Amino acid sequence: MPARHSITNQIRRYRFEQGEMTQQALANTCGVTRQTIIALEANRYAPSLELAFRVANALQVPITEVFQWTPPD
Amino acid sequence: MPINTPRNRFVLSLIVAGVGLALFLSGSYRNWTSGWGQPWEFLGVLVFVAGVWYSVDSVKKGASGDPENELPPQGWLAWLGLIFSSACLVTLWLSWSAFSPHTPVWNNADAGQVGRNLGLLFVSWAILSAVLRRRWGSAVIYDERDIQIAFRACNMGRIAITASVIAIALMLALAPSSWLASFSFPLLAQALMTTLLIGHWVDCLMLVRFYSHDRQSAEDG
Repeated sequence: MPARHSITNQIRRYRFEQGEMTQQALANTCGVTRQTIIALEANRYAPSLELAFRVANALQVPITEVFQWTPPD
Repeated sequence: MPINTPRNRFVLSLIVAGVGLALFLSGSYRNWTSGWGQPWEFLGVLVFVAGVWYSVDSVKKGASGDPENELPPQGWLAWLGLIFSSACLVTLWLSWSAFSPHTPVWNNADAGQVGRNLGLLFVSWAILSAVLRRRWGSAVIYDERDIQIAFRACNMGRIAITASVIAIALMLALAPSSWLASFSFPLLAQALMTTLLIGHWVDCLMLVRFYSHDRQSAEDG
């Protein structure tokens, strides 16, 4: 069972709103591998603050629009 | 039943690599002669490297054939490290007796041959790794997530080295002195070198495991 994190994201949605930007294109813009983008979209990896800013910048939306944090119960 | 499947190609390439390693370790082909001097000198290592190349290439492509599920660059290099460190460990294990005589290493022809074999494996490993890295060109081959994975794998490697050193220390402390008398200094040096290689092997094994698990999770959605 893949590990899920309390940080979720809307990367896939904003990628398609950016003219169907590919995962590879987003990865190149953010300076990461495509596998990291895949893991992010599947909520299997919680990014560093810097990577979160890079992703939001690449998608041209505020960071809080892309990433959400759910406090633990 | 299809024969030309990715899994069958992977198994076949591993068999070729195994045959190459067996040839390399036996060394009998080095005495084969032909009209051009010693053309068979590197036959074993060449067959081994070819087998490793195709096995790693088939692992990279993934079982599903979906490019999204390809192994990341660091996973690919981890596979390479696992295969070559396994080959080095097998070489050391099979040459254990070469280091037993109480003679200096520079007067021990068998130990010299083991050293050359290991050197050839390390050089082949370095060349193959460099060739693989060049295939990605300027693409990003590792990022913060790879560093996290490498950190976890490295911890396991360090535990393996610590456990191996403790095992050697216990052996030296508890074994009968008559048995320890047969231990030469080169043999102890080889034991310590094996310890370092075991640490690296565990490191590579855990990297392969983590990346395989990661890819499996991606395939499962």
